[in-house]
Amino acid sequence: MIEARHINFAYGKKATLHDISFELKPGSLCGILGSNGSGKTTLLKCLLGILPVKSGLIRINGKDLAALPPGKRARQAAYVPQDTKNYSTCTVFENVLLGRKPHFGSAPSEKDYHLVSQALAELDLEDLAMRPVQTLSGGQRQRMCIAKALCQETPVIFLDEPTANLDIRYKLEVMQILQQLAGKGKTIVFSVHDLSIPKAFCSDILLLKEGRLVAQGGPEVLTEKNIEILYDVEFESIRSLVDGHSVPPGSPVHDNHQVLSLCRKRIAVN
Amino acid sequence: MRASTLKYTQLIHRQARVALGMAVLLAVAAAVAIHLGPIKITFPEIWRGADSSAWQVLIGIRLPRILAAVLAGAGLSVCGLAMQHVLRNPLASPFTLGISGAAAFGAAFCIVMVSGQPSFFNAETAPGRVFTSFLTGVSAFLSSMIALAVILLVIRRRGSRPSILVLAGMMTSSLFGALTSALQYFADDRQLAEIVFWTFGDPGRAGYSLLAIQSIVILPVLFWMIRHRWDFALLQSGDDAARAGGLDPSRFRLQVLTLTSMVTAILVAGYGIISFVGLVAPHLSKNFIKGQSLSLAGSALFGAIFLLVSDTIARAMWQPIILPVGIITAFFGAPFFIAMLIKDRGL
Repeated sequence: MIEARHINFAYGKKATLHDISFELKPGSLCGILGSNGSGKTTLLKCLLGILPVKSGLIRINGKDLAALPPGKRARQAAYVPQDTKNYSTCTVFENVLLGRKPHFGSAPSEKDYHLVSQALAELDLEDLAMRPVQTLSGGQRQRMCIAKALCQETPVIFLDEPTANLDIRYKLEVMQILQQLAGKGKTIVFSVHDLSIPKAFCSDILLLKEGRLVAQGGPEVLTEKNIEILYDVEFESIRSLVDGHSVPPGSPVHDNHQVLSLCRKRIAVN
Repeated sequence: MRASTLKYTQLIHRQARVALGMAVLLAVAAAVAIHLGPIKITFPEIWRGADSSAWQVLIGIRLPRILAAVLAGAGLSVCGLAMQHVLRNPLASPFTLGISGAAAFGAAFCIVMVSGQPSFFNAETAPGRVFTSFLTGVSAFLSSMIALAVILLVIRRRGSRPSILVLAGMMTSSLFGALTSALQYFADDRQLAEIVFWTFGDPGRAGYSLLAIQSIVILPVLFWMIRHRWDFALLQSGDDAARAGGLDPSRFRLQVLTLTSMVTAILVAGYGIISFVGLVAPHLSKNFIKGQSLSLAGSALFGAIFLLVSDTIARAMWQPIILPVGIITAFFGAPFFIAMLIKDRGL
């Protein structure tokens, strides 16, 4: 459970988050939407406790993560950053194993190895397990970071644009994995730019504009008016990015949501 | 057991065998180093006991030199790898923060101030030589600590971002380099020769008391680094990811920089500047030990072998001349490094 009350945050004198309050129950899959610079990443980092809020209260399962030592905090919440660049010479297996670091201290056990293998299989990375991280593509790195977060076995996972570098198939698979995790009672919060994703997958949505919460609720908050406020655009010009349409056989695919629907059917058949 | 777990455990076992092989190679290199030199020592001669000249040469000259090469090689290599990790820069070495430049200034300062002075400072007498050498080492160490203090001040004011640290290190190096040049400019011929000779790294300056002091500092640091090998890997995924993974990146970086600087300072103060080991050995060791699990231990072993073999070549190849070991480490290390750059192995 995530509880945020009247959060304010500033980088120096520049106020970035203004009086943000919301509550997410266990099992929630929450998407944060907003234009570039609206404070999505900052909000995620504040919730995670790695950026100290100026005022307000944040509780993750009743705990203030910012007040916990780093090791204990890492057992409460995992984080997948937007920048997945990695400088190490580790293999993919070892990198995912780092997700177990808060649990194993100085030497990993058989259980840790087992959980790593399981996460690699879930993210379709088993074949890449012994590859150096440096040789992965952006999308593969993104999946590796998600596998690492899965391994961390925390009740809450924060992800900063987890689908940004993924092709449409993996975008769908990652969202389905997140949905399954939410189904198991984990609270998942992620920032996203793709408007079709929250509509299709999220139980909760936060709309953020210039550090202020414009609206919150279920997929029904993605109204024409809210989207126009959020992005300062006319809804008609981006309608195809939000609305889903059924695709007649043989017809060309017009928008992102249609592609997602097609992929979902294809994966279900396989 | 899943396929990836199996593959990884196989990799770990293979790497452990390679590390064991490196330990055996180090023992062989030490045996060869004992044998080779202006006086060739054979093992039957050593077994004859403490009265034999072979025993005297072994205990009095070769053994401290070999132990120094092993300790310095392992220390510089591990510190080099640690610096490359925390600064996220494959070109980082233990000397990147300007510790060696500061030590060179400290030594030069002491040589210019003390050399040629009357009484017990007089390097013409045996006690004078010992005392002057001790004083030079202490001065080099203290000067290194000034460089470390400058770096810590920068960290306190600007944080420990790798780019800031590299720039601060370059500036510290330049500053102490300029001061050393100024001292060299005003030094007389003899002092100048002494300064230049000091900057050539030489494990032959080792004595048992120096080795004991160095071991007390260096060995715990090496074990600490090996124990924290996964934290080094965590740091490579960026500061935010490291924080989320349970590490305080700023604190860890500060700890590593302080410890590597201490090790580097105590080695440079004792043996002078042994260049290239801290840069090249960590990279070369990656060809043999892949992955994170044994990387620091492998780097320590490879650094020890690399410096010991280089020192043995420096002593034995052009007898009776003993070349400074830094020439050999650069001569053999640089071509290997260039070959690695061409093949792009892990750089």
